Amino acid sequence: MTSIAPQEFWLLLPEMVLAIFGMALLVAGTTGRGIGSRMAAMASLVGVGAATILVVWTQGQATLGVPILAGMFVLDGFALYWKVLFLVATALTVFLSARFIEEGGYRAGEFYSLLLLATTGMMLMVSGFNLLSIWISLELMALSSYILAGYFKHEQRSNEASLKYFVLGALSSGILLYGISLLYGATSTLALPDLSRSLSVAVLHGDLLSAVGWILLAVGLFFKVSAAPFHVWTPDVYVGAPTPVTGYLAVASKAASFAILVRIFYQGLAPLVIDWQIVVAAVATLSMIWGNIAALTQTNVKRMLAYSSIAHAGYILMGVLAANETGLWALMFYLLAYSLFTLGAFGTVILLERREYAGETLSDYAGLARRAPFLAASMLIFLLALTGLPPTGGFFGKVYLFAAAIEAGWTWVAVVGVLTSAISLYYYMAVVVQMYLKDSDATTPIPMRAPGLVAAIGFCAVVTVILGLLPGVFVDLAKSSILPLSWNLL
Amino acid sequence: MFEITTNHYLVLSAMLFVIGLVGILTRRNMIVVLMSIELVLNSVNLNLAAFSYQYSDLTGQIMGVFVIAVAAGEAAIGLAILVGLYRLRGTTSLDHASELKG
Repeated sequence: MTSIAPQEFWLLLPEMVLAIFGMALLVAGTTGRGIGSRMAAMASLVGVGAATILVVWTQGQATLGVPILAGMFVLDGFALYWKVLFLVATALTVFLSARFIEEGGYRAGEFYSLLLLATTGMMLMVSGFNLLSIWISLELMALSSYILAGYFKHEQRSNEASLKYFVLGALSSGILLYGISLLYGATSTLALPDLSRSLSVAVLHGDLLSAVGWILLAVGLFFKVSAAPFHVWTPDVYVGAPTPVTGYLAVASKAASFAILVRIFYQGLAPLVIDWQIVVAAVATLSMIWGNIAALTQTNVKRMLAYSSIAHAGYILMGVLAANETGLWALMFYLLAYSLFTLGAFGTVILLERREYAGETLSDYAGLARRAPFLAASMLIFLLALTGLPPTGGFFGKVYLFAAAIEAGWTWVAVVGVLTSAISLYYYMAVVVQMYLKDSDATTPIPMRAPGLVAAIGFCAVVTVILGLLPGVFVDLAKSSILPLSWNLL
Repeated sequence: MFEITTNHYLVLSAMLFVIGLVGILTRRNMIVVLMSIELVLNSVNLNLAAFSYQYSDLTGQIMGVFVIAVAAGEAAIGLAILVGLYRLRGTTSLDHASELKG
């Protein structure tokens, strides 16, 4: 039995600080008249800032890649990269939500509290090195997200989104958990490195228990990343949830699920690579085709972005499929770019929403170039990036992912990716046509209220372009963060 | 003498799991769906306890305790969402939550 040195707990300080901020906001939000929206937003930004500093600091204190707390968690470059990404995404979400929450008229404390707790779950999850700790953190993230989706509790659509998310989320976590229990039965361990070692023996014996186990585990993870055919919850939840929450789910939640999918597949299920590559290839192809074709007929922008998010899950799965170093850093680079341009696109939707759910239909974008040139220009950048066109980060991200798939010999999947990207041009450009070529009845300029929101959209647009002009810097960052690892596949 | 082995527990747990899955997917009443979720989670617990006993390894039982704790949290959140649904529509039937078409 491994013993735990008390000082090891300090290495989880960033997560502890974030959780304390979250719980303090919860208490502050429920006592008396509650905490003011602006105050709560400020407090959560302070929490996120403190956690970011501590993440970098604790990383310096730990021996890289050595599991801590009896093998429950590991601090490595991979975890650091994702943690910083989640914290940036959370900070941007706070900027996106501030005005929205204020105008919604609901108490602000709970919202930011849940946001911080969900982020805590994600940060613990990417550090997880044992299926037990990974699952608990996954649940922390998921349970907080269910409530966030239903945050506008007097709105039927929000409640319905939360209900559907809860039922299908609970189903997926049940399937995932059943898979974990079978894997435990096949290997008598939950730690990822031991799992990998035992599985390499089990594979030789054609073990049925482990085969069913990993398939159920994979199904649970595909649910979380909203890949077809496990995507049914995505469109309804994305449309019904308050838009800042939708952005957060589409970005942080998806990135976290992909991070842990990679961690489990590359480090825990490495001996089964031949088997899971076939499954991942099928799911990736199906997601790209289904997502892009279903998006063609949508007139609601949030719904269109939901189907596009399913399609993007397919593209990103190509990085998993490749099972090589290129695939790993291509996936990390793409999710960085994807986070920024998707949050930016949802930010634009939020700015256009005047009342709770107005401003979502395609026709609301008519004549936007004249009414709000800055907004139209940023949205153009985000749409170009979503399509995968230069000069944006989306272009290089896709190129790297396709290159990784081809390098690993999965050329036909890359071909499907290129073809479906061409299809996606149609529905993304429909928004551009509305913005730049159609005239609207209203010609008054759209007021740029909420400077924080505008600044966040601007930030996303600028970084998306920088990622497209100087991809090398960020690729090096992703490459260096996977270096000190003992990835079983690479 | 008839001996109960790990396989017997596995069969029982697989049956509970399938009943739970079918319940989640086909039942229209949210309360029954919540009960089906509990069935799925408890089938996992049964698996974990059986394997834990077979290997004389505590890991599975520890995981089981965590599953029980999280199941309680999940039920609480499910019921909270259900209370929201009931206040808005006066029913606990999922058929009435159909404003969004998926």
